[in-house]
Formats: sequence, structure tokens, C-alpha cells
Amino acid sequence: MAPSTPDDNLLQQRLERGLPRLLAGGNFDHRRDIDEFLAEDALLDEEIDRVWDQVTAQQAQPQPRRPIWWGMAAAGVVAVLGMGGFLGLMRGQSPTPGTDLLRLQNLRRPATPAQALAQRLEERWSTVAHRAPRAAVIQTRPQNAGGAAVVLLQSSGEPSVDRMAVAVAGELAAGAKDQWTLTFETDGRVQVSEAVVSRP
Amino acid sequence: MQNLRLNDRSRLDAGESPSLGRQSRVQRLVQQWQGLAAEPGNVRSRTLQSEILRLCEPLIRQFLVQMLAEDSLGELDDLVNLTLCRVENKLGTYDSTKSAFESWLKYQCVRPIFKQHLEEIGYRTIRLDPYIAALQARLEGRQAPPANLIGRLVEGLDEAQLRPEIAKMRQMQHAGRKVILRRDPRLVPALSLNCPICPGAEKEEGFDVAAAPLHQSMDDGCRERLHQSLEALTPGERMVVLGLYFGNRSRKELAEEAGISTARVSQLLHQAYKRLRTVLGIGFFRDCLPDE
Repeated sequence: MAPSTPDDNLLQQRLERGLPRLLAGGNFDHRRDIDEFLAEDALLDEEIDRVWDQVTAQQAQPQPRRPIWWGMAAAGVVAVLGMGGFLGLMRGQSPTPGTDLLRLQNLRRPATPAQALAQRLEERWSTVAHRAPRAAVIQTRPQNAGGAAVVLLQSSGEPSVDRMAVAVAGELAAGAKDQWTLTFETDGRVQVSEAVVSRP
Repeated sequence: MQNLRLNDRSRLDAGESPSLGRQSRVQRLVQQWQGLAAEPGNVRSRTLQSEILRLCEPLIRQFLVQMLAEDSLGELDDLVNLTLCRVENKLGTYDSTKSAFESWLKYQCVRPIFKQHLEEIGYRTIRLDPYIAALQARLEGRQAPPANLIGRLVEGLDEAQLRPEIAKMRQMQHAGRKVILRRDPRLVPALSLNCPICPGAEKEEGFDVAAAPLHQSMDDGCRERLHQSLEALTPGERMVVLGLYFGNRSRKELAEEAGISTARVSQLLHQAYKRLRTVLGIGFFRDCLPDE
């Protein structure tokens, strides 16, 4: 509460002096005032008691313990997530030569040249893949001039699609330093693996 | 000897239920503090006191959060601090043989401060059942002229506020609330803990309010103004003013009649003076209560 100032005290003294005179002869029901006050006070006390009991009970309780299965389930989720993350990380690393075929659908963020190449090839290939009776396999080899030599190892069975695949592979593999084996699947996917070339 | 007793108590506490752990811990700290309190400036005493207050604080805060209406939560920190100050000041009076500490905390510290706050800001206690009924009646176009606080509150709402208010009140009812705290629209604006009277009133009090001749007709006008201003008091304030100055009772008699302490009577009277000063204005003092 704010402290009273000297002016407050003076005004208070004047109220104390004047109130009996100004209230005299009034038509007040003091008993009714007391009853009204007591009724309201009792209501408030009751509510204070109720809320206080509630709060003390809440505060006294230790943190509610969850059933043991809840902890086991949480640990399981963490373990699965951790394992998934670890495997995802491993898949995002440089591929082991000749063993890992890369599927674009599983790669949200291509990190290697092979992944990048697969993504770019799929964007073009997916538009014509449905026309191919079977998968086309192409091998690319970097050239000194910066381009890429492209060899069709397996035809898709559709010459126009083969030509398109060879053109896209030559265009997109240009500048690459590695030799790639590209498999254009009929469902639109493109698998890129480091070529194991048996030189004649 | 004291330490031995406390150690024995500690061993007993080790086997008690967790729900009693915090309570008995505070009680034990208070006993330790009371054993040291005779030595002023004792570091250990101050540390214990701080620890006691630290343990009390969450309880006090949580209670106030649950009790205060949304528009009064701004004063939460002030209220918590005021209550902790009271705990600090009255801690020496706690007697563990008479009551549990939490009970003492509620009755001696939290409740008086909270009630005083409600008086200051003009909050009233309202039963939920009749309030909801009155809201419903107005919604159905059956509203009578406001004859009491509930009537005034309902009248003060816009049409668009009625349905949300009813829904909110029913929600509180389902949560177990029996009453709500609301500011009486007839009372003067809230008296914040940090606001002495009301904005601008401090300047007015600097005016010369010296003597002025008091005539009979003016006296009637003064009575009328004072009687009207009594409507702006809470029931408690009005009861005390009328009991002392109209009913000619002493503070002690009034306290006994109303079943409250004389300290509460004094607090209500002090609050009534403050509100009357605000409601009556400086002109009333100049014209009706001249300086002698």
C-alpha cells in the first residue's frame, strides 16, 4: 500500500472530524451492512481455503511418475531415430566404388557428384521413361576437352529414347572427372555407379 | 540440545511421505531459524530466512495466480513480494506447537494481504450461480433494472459479450469454482499498489483547501454528496465508516460485532478514507470540511 502523505493525513483528520456531523440523521441500516460484509467475507474465505488446499496439494506432489512402459517406449523411439539418423548419414557419405547404387528418391540432399548427376538425369529421364520397354545402360568417360564420351551398353528397345538418354548423359556428365555407369530404369529412376571398366 | 532435537526430527522426516516433505522441511527450517533469531546479524539466520522465503514463494505465487482475475495479474509480483515481506516480518510469531506452517502462512500472511488487495482495487466476491442466471436472463431479454452488484455487472456487458461470458463462467463452475472476483463498476477506478490515489489527484491536493464559511444549505448539499459517495465503498469499508461514525461504536466493539480483528477494522477504515478522498474530491474538503 502506498504510504500516506502529510496532505493525506490532514484530509483524513478532517474526515474524522466531519463525518459524525454529516452522517447524523441519515437513514442507514448498519446491521444490513454488517450482514452483507460477513456474507461476502465468508464466501471469499471459503474460496481462499479451497484454492489454497488445491495449490498446496499440487505443490506437495512430486512430479507424476509415468508407467515404466512409457520410459521403455521413449527409449525405443530414441534408439530407432538414432539408428535411422546414423544409417542416413552413412548413406550420404561417399559411395564405395562399384557397390552402392544410388536411388534419387532416398536422397533429399545430394552430396556427391554421383548423386547430383542422378538427380539431374532423373529430371530429364522421367519424362520419357514410360516409352522405354526396358532399362537403358550407358557408360560415360571424361574427355580431355571437358566433354564426356558416352557408350550405350544396353538399349532400352526404343531408339528415340536411347538417343535422348545418350544426349542427356553426354550433356550432364560433361566435366565430370569420374567414369559412370548410368542405368535408366523404366520407372523413371536413374542409378549412377562408378564404372568398373574393363579396358580392352 | 537444540541441534540434537533437530537431528532427531530430521531422522523422523526421512521416512515420511513425499507429500509432507516440503512442509516439514519449511517447519524444520523455521525452528532452526527461531533458535538463532536472538542473534541479530547472524549469517546463518539470514541464510535460513532466505531459504524459508524461497520455499514459500512458489506456493504464494501459485495461489495468487489462481485467485486473481486476469486483469489484475499485472500486480502479481507486487503481491508476492508484499506477502513475502509479511512472512519475513511475522516469522518470529510462528508457533509450531499451535499450527502447521502452511496453515499459519495462509491465515497470517497470504489471506490478509490478499484481502487487503481486493479491498484496495475494489474487487467483490460474486456467487457464480446467480451471476450465470442473471447473464442468461439478459440474453433472453428478461433483465430487470440492476438492484445489486450482479445486476450492475451484467448491465455493464455488451450484447456480444454475454454468450462468451456465460461459457466462461460455466467452464469455471465445472472446474469447481463457486465464486468469482470482479470489480464493482460503481467503485472508483482501481487503486494500484503503486498508485497513491488516482492519476492527477496528487496535484489537486496541493491546492489551498483552507477554511470556507459553512452555511446550512451548503451543509445539506455536503450531506447529500457524502451519502452518495458511500455507495462507492465496498461493504467492508461502508460497514466500518457507518459503524464508527453513525453507529458510534468503538473499533473494538465493531470488530467484535463483525467477528473480525481490530487490525482489519483499521485497515478497512484506512482504505475507506482513501476511497472517500478520491470520490469526494478536493472541492468537498474545501466546502464541507474546512480546515479549522
